Amino acid sequence: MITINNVANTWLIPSYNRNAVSTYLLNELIKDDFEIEVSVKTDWDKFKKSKQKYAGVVVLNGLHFGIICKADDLGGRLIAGEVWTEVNGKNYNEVIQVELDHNDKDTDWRDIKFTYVKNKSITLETKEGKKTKELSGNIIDYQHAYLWLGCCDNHLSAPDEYRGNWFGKVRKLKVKGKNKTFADFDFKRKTRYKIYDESGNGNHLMKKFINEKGHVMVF
Amino acid sequence: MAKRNQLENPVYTEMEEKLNEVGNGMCLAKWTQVTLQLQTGHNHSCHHPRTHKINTKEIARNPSALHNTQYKKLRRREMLTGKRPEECDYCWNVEDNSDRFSDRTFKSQENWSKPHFDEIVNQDWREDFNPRYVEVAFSNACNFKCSYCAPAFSTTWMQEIEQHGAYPTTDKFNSLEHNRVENKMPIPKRDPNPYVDAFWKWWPDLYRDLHTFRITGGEPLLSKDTFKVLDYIIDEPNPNKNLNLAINSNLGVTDNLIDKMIEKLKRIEDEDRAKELVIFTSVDTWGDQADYIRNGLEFNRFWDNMNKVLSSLDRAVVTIMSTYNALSVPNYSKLIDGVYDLKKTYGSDDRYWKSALFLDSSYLRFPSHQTVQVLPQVWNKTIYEQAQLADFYSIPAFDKQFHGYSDIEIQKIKRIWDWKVANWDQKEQQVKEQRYNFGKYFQEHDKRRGTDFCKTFPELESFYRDCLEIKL
Repeated sequence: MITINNVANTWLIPSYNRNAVSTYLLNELIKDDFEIEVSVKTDWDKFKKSKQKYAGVVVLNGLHFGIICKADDLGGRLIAGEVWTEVNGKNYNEVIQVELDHNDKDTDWRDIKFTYVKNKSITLETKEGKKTKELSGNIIDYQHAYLWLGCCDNHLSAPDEYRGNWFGKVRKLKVKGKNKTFADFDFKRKTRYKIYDESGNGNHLMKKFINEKGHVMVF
Repeated sequence: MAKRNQLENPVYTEMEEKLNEVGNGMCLAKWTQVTLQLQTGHNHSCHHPRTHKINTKEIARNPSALHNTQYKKLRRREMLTGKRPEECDYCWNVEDNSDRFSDRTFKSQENWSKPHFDEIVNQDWREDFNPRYVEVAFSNACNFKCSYCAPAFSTTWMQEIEQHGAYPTTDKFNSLEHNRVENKMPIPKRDPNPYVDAFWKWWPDLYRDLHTFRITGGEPLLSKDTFKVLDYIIDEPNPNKNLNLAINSNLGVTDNLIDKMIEKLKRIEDEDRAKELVIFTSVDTWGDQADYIRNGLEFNRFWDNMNKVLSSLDRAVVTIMSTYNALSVPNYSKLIDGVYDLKKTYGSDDRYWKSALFLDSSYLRFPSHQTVQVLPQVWNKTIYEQAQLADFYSIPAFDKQFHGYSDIEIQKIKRIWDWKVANWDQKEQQVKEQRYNFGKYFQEHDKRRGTDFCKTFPELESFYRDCLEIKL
């Protein structure tokens, strides 16, 4: 398990592998169907205090693609699955979401599953139920996106309002591509800088470090 | 031929052009670098050419002829007059058959070479030149007989071969015949050694000019000359503070010798008598399997001694030269874990280098029967996973504030996999013979040394038994 309790504490899998030891790159994963399964406890109080409208649990950056927590102005709490498509030169935000019961403190472990079927649909499964949305067109280009855990995008160039910093605990994350696992984390084996990928693909999660030039360091 | 990396490496391009202005065979290493094998009286400048015998008459007149041999001076003359010495064909092959820079460019660019360019090209080829990068082996005395080593570098190996003869492989592994033909029979420790005597005559003059001095062996801590070097540096009123001092050790000698080395290095360190101190040691995998590969090693003692060195010497750096071979594969990941723990424990801003400890994994090439090539393909994945494990322990940047594996350490493990999966003509046929030799070698090894391959390497038992069944 890991705790993400401040904006500096986010993790990522980049689109490429610096030492070329990954056997399944992120930019391969997103060329086809994939699914994300995550088990989390969201710190909704901290999220609300941060005054953000949304926070990324597991998200591909750019125009956000993945699992996102949201808060509305009336105090409602939502879990969403999102992607962006392009139709006739225009981008569309495709969203499915479930609203949490007002009486649900949401303090227990929560399993969330997000499924993407290539250019066809997205599905979100939580204890509240399962929702699917047919996509209006092909998704936009995510070839150079990073997969973030605990935010939507933490590149230094991303404006604060798009960063979507999430707070809470994570005990399990599994990302599966078509017919094979992409990355699998039980968060038991970790260093200060990386979390071990149990899938055997070498897609270890790395902690966000920004270098002197303001770039996220891939290591 | 245009160099592939020309735009990315203007420094090397400039050096190559400068060398070629003198002659297209010019290389500063012929002057600036030397490896002295005093136990056999051989040397070479750069590790690519074969070693050549040092003339005892020359060194009686001029001890610097340990390096400045007449033979080498003739090669220097060739270089200064636009010729390519035949013995340097490794570089000529690279230059003539690829778009890469050869090692003569890299070695000439080193900061122990480059500053001396003008001095070298302007002096007569007959002149002596003190090398700046010196590796020396005083003797072949060694308490280990590592499975891939040879009598020229280990007295215990010599004893075994003298007693039992060569191993029953197709190439008669470790036969002394080769040493006799090449005039490389080590001088026994009890006998006078004119090369060592010459070294000590030359040393006061050599020491002043040294950039890097590395003591190898044999096991250097079994040689009194190693401690004589350390004492000289300690007692020198005006030490060469620019010296990079390195000592190889198997860290498997008696406690008093380890303590003696630490005590002397600590004085050198505390009194700033050298620019940096590096201890090169070796281990090729973990636990009992490491003991088997490096006969004489007691792994737990070795690990304790690494801790002792790193905890006693606040600034020194340890590099593990790991000779990755077929027997390393099953448990190398444990070594990767263990080294990472030491990196974390001993990393500090005070160290001479950016990391307290390096794992330098190089694949074994000779003897061919023990290389990773002999193993079935099923082991390829294990090697790859070891590169991935090192990558897991990688660091955001190679800097003292981070403790983990650098890119080069990771890439050197990955390179083992690259080499393992590479194909070439007649690989299958060669591997068959290597496997035959693998079986013959370790069968004889167990018989002579009382070891038990199958008990030590249960993961490789069926492979080993298959090797024993091979008929050539």
